[in-house]
Amino acid sequence: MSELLAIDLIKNLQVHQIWWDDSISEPVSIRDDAPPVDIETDVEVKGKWSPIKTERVDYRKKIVIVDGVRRIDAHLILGDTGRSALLGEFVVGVFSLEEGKVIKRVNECVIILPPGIRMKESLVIGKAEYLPISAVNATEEGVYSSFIQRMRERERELAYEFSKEDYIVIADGPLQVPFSEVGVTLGFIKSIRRPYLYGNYWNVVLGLKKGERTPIFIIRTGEDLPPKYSWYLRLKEPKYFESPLFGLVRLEAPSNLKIEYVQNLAQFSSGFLPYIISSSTLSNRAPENLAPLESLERRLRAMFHPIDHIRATLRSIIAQAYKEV
Amino acid sequence: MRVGIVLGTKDATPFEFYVEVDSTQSLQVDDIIVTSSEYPRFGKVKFYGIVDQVISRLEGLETNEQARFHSQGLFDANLTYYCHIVVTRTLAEDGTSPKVPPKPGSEVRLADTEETKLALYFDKMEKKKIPCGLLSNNAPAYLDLDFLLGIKGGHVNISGKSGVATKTSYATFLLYSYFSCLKEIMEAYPEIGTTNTHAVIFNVKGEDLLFLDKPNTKLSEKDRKMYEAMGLPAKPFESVKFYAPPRPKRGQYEMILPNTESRIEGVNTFAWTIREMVENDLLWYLFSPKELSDTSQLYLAIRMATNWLNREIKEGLAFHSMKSMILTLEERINDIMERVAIGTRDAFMRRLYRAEQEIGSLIVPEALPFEDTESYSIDWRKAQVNVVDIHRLSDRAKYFTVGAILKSIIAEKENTGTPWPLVFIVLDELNKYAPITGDSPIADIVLDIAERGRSLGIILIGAQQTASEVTHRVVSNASIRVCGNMDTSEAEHSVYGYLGPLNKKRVQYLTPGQMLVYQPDVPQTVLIQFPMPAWATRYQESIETGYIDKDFMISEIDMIREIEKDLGNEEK
Repeated sequence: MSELLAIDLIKNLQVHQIWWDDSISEPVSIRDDAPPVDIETDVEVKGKWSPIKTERVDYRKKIVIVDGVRRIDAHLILGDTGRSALLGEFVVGVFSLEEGKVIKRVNECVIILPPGIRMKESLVIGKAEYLPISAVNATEEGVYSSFIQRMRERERELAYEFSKEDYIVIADGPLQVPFSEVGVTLGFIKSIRRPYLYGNYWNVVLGLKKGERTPIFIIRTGEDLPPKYSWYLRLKEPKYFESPLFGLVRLEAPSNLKIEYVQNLAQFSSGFLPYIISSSTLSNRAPENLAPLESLERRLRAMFHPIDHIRATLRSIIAQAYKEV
Repeated sequence: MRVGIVLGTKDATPFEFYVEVDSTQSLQVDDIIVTSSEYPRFGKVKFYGIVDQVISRLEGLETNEQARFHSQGLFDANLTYYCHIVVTRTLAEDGTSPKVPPKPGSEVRLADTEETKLALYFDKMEKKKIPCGLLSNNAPAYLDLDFLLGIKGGHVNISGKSGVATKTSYATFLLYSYFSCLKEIMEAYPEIGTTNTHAVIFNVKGEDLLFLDKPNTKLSEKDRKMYEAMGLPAKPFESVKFYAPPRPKRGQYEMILPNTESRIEGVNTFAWTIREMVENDLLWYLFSPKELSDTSQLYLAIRMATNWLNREIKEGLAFHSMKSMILTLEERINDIMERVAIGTRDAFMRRLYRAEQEIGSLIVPEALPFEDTESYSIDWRKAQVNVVDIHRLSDRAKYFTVGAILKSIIAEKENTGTPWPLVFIVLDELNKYAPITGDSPIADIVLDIAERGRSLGIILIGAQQTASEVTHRVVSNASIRVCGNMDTSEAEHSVYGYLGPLNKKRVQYLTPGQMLVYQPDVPQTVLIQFPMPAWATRYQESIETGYIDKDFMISEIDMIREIEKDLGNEEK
């Protein structure tokens, strides 16, 4: 029954072409770290900066890590207009440092449709149920960006669910707008693509040793967006042949917190996170990918529906849809 | 009680499968389990099995590093706990045994007492069984008597290191179990008729077996409960006779006393006269297997000497000691062994002299005015259990004693022409009597019992530390094989094939009282635990009974020692 419905849905979409290749690179414009409008450097330390060293701590009570993984199952080119749609699946989950295991996993399959095209029902392929979502625009980038946004929303919801229960949430990636008004969520940014600081400030960042952090600063990204606290932290020192950005991460905290509290969070992050990093044998994004983060991502990836089955079924559905046209 | 489910990620077959244990439960090796699956042709099929391996691991991890992160609480993994099951039996509702696999996901339970019986085919044995220990779930394990008494098979072979509660203890426990069930056995086997069953135990170590008829006053409550669980009374043997060799270095007219230390009362002396030795053709056993294999012509010399002695004894010649026999032979050697080379004659005499030193004390004068020579022979029909203490004898004297006694038993059984009454022979150190290499009269007789004993009604309960050093025909003829603690390197020998690869690895972890028992109709070797003896194994264990007066014992021994000392002084 669901197959007939799927054939019908595919027929209505006028699927013209399918790309199975999911190695498509992320369009630059949808990167999370939006360019800053303004930086305030004298939040924690007035005047000249120097690295802040912290003693090692092992505090795990009520600390969770939230992350998500995604997979593109198929790109669809619709009709003759070149508009594209996307079938994808993502899984978001929570790793509890207190319990040492993944405590929650949620997965969702979506079909991202260009604006103007509507599907009344979910597209069911095998056991996967693709929920129709409208993209921001009809381009490939727009469709992809909507897919990422959908996952980010789910991550944020999960982070909120835990932060309102007094957990400290470490979320992968920059803090999602809007930040949760309740509890504490820390953004953990592994890829330093854009320097937020310049001159001597940036030199301090590059000179950080393991376990050292910069003083806290404030980032403003737009008039209508709330500012964020941020600091750089060195997880591991680079060897002579490695980039000075190796082992460097940036953290973010919501600006509705008191600076004293954010200072504690910063101390905690630099006293704890450098000691739970992954190694190069564990993760190809080591050391920035924390060991529990890597563990969480692996467990999340295990939740994906089997891709071979989905593609074979989809191929058969499309073939039948063509036959009936 | 549910313990888990049939694992779906590993092959389940009619012969083996895996069980994933519930996180709130545990399974250990030797546990007996049961599961069931529906099949169109057969209906509900029950699967009975034994856990032979338990495995725990972190699933989904690829490297040790990840496991280390897991231990630090930084990496999630699924802790899985699963067991390998050897299927012992499949049973459909109509009683057939379809060879189908259990279905993954089927609920697995621990077997109860009734299911344990089904799992190990004890139901098929009906009444033809005796308890042989307790299983890990404290249910009794049984031996199939058809394979013990020579009906479908016979003989028991026990391997394992020496120590407390090992080979001999288990052999005596099996005998005890047998004699305790004798009434039921006689009902189950009408062919036994009214005959009793007998046992001859050769005691090769210490004087542990000299108290079989005394209760063990130190028996713990736990052991008593074990007897109870098997439906056996915790009592000593009822009908026992003890035999020990005579004390050596005695004078010609001195009293012949058994050479035992911890017990004299009720112990008989066994010995032979030269007439008995010659008439029963026992001269062979005066020579060690090595001596016989070194000089091939020695056989001829022994045969000629025996023939000559036979003739002379019939004509009235009598010897009072072995020495007198040797001197006579030496005097007449040229007449007796005309055809034998001089070198062989010398070798024969040399070896006879050497034998005299070790065996001479087992020879008693033929006719004493105050003693009846009959009293020195062993009559195994007079008691259920006959303990022959040979532990103080030299190897050569042991060969002689064991060879002479076994030979007489075989001869007697051959004459009667019926296997009943049965006689059990308990013989430890089989590697000495029937070694894997070499040929000797004693090895021949042990082999003869192993191969022909079933039809004669002679059942060998043989034991040895290392079965790999015993001639394979003796071991392979034993239907029931038992294995106690031993080195894993020994267990690697093919003779222990019945253990299976996993049991071979665990033999070194067996504790006293634990045995792995294999019998033909049960497809898996099972681990059993048997209790400490309900009879005393030391004088101290028997004393609270008041049966032996300690002071009396000591004074008697002292008295005999005094006499010996005096006699020694006189000789000087």
